[in-house]
Amino acid sequence: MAPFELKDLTARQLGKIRNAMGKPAYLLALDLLPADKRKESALLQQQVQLALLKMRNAELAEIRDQLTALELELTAGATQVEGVLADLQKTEEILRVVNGFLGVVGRIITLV
Amino acid sequence: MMTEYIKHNKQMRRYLILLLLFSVTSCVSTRVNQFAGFAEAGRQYTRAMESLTTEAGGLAIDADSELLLKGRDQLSQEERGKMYIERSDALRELLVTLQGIRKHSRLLERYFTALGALAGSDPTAALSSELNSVVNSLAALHPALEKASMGNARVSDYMGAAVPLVLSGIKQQALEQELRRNAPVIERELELQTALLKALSQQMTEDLELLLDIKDYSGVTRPFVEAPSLGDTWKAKRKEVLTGYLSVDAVEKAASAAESLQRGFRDLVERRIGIGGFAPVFSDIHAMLDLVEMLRTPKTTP
Repeated sequence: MAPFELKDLTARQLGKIRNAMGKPAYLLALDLLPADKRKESALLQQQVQLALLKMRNAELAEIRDQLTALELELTAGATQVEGVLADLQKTEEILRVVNGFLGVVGRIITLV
Repeated sequence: MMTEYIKHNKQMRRYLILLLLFSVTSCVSTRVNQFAGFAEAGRQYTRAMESLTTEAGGLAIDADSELLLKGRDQLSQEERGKMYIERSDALRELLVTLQGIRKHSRLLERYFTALGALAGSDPTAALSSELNSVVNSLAALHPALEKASMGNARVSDYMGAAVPLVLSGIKQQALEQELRRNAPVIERELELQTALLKALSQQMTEDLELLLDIKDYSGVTRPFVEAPSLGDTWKAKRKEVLTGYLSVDAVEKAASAAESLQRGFRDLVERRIGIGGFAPVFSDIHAMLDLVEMLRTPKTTP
């Protein structure tokens, strides 16, 4: 994939994750989980939003090398995200996959 | 007999000359009207784009604020401070880009107004200077906007290849010279607007959807599931949220306005304007204005 396509793919997935974590179906399922999981989800959503804003603003020239180096992890992560978001009731699985994807994104742009 | 024939022939020739003069004048005035019509489309588009970019900025801030507030309790004071500063910085960058888009569309409006004036009157030094000044300003602004990121991709990723323009039906020399010199440049600037609007609409769709989902969960779904009793406003809130999702579709319709304007410009220059004139351009601009209205309408339920 060309670097601009990788950037587009990454930002698109971040947008999908952010919005999925705001969907009533996800939040209702999350309400049934213990407090530590709810906290983990809230923190993750904050990180995803920051990553999304930063990825939207990022100059391609500045992140081109990282995107290329992480192509396999990004595309695999994006596929996993796509799959897991198909069922918003599977909150714990979503948290696990999103954590992994965000870990890869965090190697491209700096997160708090 | 012969003299009568000559007299009749002379009369016929006079009629023919008059008819020719009339059709030339009518052709010229139709062309002048077309340029004036396009200038009006440019004016309305700019007004719509100004409002839409303002709303887009507002939506992005609202979406981020909702998320910040939602997660605030889960963050330590140190985390809150860092997160707030980083997120505000990112939003500021977006607002600068949106300001650039407004400046760019205002310049295009000035160009089309001057072009309309040039088509309808004799060229003046002031008109030429206005056209040159606008083209230079557009050239200065173009690179930064083309490089800008919005939505999920770089604006330039949405830009297509240049299509050669074939000037047609331009009688006035100054207008022809102007279009020969700058029409391809303006066509590229309109392509940039098309790309900007596409990128912007993608971002607006995401932000709008998130805001509606948050409202849905906190104001409608959660109370329905958890509250012991529902207030009088619950039904109204539900209707408001569900119908609010229509504005997400409206963003897609509004996104085609710049493309219509670009097509309209090509048709204007190449004299390919159909019977409907610029009606499709105005229709898409109105879709933009309808969307702005929809986003601005104060919500009835708290």
